[in-house]
Amino acid sequence: MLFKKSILRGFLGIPIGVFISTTISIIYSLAFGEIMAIPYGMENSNSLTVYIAQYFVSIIIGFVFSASSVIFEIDEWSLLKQTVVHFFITTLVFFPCSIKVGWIDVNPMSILIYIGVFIFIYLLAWISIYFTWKSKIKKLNNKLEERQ
Amino acid sequence: MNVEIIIKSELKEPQVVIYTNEVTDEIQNIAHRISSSQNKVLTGTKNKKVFLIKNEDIYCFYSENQKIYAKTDKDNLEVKLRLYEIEKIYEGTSFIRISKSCIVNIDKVKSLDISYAGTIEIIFKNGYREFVSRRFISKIKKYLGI
Repeated sequence: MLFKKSILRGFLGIPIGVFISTTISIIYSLAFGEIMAIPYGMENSNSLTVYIAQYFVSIIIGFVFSASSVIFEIDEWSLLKQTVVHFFITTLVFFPCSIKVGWIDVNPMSILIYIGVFIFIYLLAWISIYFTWKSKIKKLNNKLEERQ
Repeated sequence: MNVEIIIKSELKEPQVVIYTNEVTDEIQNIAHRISSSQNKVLTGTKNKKVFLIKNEDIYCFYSENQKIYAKTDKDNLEVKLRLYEIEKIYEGTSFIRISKSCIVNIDKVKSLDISYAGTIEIIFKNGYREFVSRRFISKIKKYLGI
């Protein structure tokens, strides 16, 4: 059952999420020479709270992004429907989480840029997947034509 | 059902004969499973009448309302086999599974089409169309030797 599969994948995604977020934090901190916790919405909390909040957010994002990959295995849906639904699920989770831990600046311009980048990435993925299938089909059609 | 095996040394090839007073679904099922698909003729029913179907006339097998049908130019005939049984019997032939509910005869296929929404369809030589799941495309590729 796909649902069970998605939950299992979700749990496997948790360590991946934490790894990615930790790696990015380290790289970002190295640039400044000291540990950078970005408490945009949490100016009054101590750095431990912020650290733990980022930990949980990475877990949530890792879980959701991984679990939602089963959407692409719902054969009854078109590729377009799968991509759009996946986009909405990840966006709905990623943005509130990012804002909460201060990964994103809370002004309209920044948010627009972030959403723009997100959409751009999905567009890129969609285009490459679509054209990959298109060329596969073309090869098959050539072979089929030989047999007519 | 009684099963008997009789040794006849003069026979070059085993022969299976089913003695029955009535052709039931079970009998049809057994007959299909025993005979090889290459030179076998399928039986299908429509309106309680039984027809013989030649493999080369079949466009596809599909399932609808728990029943399996064979689609030919003239008619859609009900076949007393499950799709997985058909898949097994026709393994290695031009009949390829393309989705959860359809097995298609590649010899009857004209081309494939992909829509902008990313859905793939098979177009038969007579214009019929059937939806293909992306995960089964590799089966078609394998059969065509790509």
